[in-house]
Amino acid sequence: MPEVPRVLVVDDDPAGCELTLAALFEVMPGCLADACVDGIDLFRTLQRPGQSLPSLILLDLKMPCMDGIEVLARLRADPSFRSIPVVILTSSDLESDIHRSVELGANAYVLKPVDSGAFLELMRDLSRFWILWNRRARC
Amino acid sequence: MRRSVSSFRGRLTFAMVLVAVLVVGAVGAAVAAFEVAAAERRARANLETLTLLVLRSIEPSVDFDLPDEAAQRLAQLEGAEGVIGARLFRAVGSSRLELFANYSRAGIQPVLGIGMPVEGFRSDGNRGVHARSVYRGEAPVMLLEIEADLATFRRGVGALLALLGTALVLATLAALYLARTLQRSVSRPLNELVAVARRVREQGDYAERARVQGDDEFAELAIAFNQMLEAVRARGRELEDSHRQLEERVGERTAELNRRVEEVERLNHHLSSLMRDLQASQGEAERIAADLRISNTRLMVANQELEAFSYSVSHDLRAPLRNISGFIELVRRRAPAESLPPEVARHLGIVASETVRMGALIDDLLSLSRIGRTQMRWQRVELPELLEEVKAELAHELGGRRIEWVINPVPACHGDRALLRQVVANLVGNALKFTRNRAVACLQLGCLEDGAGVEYFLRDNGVGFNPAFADKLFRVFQRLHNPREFEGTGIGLAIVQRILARHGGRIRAEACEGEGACFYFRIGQSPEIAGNNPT
Repeated sequence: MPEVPRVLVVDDDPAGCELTLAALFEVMPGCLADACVDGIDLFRTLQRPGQSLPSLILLDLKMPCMDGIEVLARLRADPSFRSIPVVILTSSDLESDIHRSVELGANAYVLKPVDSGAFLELMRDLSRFWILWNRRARC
Repeated sequence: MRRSVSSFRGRLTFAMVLVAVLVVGAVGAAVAAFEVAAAERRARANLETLTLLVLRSIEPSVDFDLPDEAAQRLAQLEGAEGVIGARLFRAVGSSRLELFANYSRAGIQPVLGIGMPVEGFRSDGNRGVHARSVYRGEAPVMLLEIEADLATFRRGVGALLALLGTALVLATLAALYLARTLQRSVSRPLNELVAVARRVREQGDYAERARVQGDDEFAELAIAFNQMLEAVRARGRELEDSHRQLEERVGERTAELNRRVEEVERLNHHLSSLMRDLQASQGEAERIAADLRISNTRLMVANQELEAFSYSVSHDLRAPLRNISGFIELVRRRAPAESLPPEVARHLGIVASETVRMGALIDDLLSLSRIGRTQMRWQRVELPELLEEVKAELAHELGGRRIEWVINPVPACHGDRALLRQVVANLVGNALKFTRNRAVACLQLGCLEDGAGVEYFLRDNGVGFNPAFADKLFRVFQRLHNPREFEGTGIGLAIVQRILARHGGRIRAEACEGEGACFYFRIGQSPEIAGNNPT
């Protein structure tokens, strides 16, 4: 039985978070998806005992307390979380944000589209690719 | 008038008297000397003749040894003027003489006729004595000696001398008279000249003239003197004239100089007040410039804050919008339109399309705020190329529309390619939107060239607009058409204007309602090109 993919969505906007989760469930019925409201919540979730590593993290950049860039830097600095694929899902198209993310090792940088149909398509493609990639890496 | 020997008159008189005295004296002396010599010669000749005559007549008395006869004959010498005495000697033997007879005038002692006689004539100045012998064979036989007083023969010389003295006195008087006359004719005109010269000297009156008399050298001298006076007077006048002119000129120059000095002082004063004003206004200008710098800095900060604000606002607006749109999509998926009341489904559709519209608005606002934030990359840009790219991009939206593109060759421009591409895209999008109702849309890209540079234009045959509102066209959210007729955010042309302004260019539009519109725009020059070519 194939492992159930687990996706963590990090977004401080609850509605946006719910929408992303809804889109994920829409495109990958049966997947496990959790929402974290910020970076601190994410690390708490990751370090919860008995938890396996997520197959994918969808990371927003603009967040209070610890922003996405810092979260990414910490993930990449921590040997136990270094291998988790991280996709930046943000509405910021600032060049500085894009450069910084790529430098720190983001696996993809995706602008949140307003068109919900397009968003669903994107979610589908992204999660499939990275979950497949993850599975292959673990074999 | 001082008179002395050194005066001309004295010297003239002295010279004339001297000449007269010398001439008369010399002639007199010469004549006297000659007369004295002649008298002596005459006396001697008379004495010799007398001696010879007496000797002839007395010879027989000696031969016949008659001493009385001889004495008688000698006594006849009484009648001979000047004879003082005579002695007759007879030779005795060969060398001795013995007195035979003698005569002497009574009362007068002989001076020379004493002692042994000597043959020939002797004289002591006053008396003369002559002795002559008679020879028979070699030996003298007798000797006669006669002594005479020479003064008798000199009596004529004295008269002559007296005559000479008279002549001398007369000559001197004549010389004096002549000198006086001459002096009168010579020194008077001279003295007159001297007087005139003195008057001229003492009174400085060069109009004084010497009197001209006759036509002699003095007249010439007077004329020359007068001419000289005239010349001196003319020279004096000239000198006075030039002196006066010089004084006038000096006066003029001095006045001029004073005027200049006053003018310079006035200018100086003016200049210093100008300098003060200038310094004051310089200070003012510096203050203003400082104020300007401060307010400029403030303005830049405010502008940046505004742009950051508009960016973050549009950014923050997008998140809820995206959520709304996402949830509507979720609703539509879970409750298909067929299952909903038709009214609800329609409302849901409206919400969805409004969401899309708002998204477009926010996107436009974002790009508008981004224009001022992005770094310009200057490069050479060919507008027709950009137009072709935009055409290709829009191709799928234009399926079925008939569009006639007229792309004239236009000069390349300098600018940020991405931004200029947005200009072309917005203008073309605009043109296509407002030609939607035309059977054949016509778009033309071209340019006009004038002294200020190149003005590009994009013309369409769309619905145009009311030219009264042309200036509102480029303001944010300004729309000249009903959004139901022509959709749009009202930001596109504002973006175009903002981009062109960032390039140092500008845009204007001409149109008639229903007859198409034409957008003219200038693109500025890149800073380095503008630096090389200030036009």
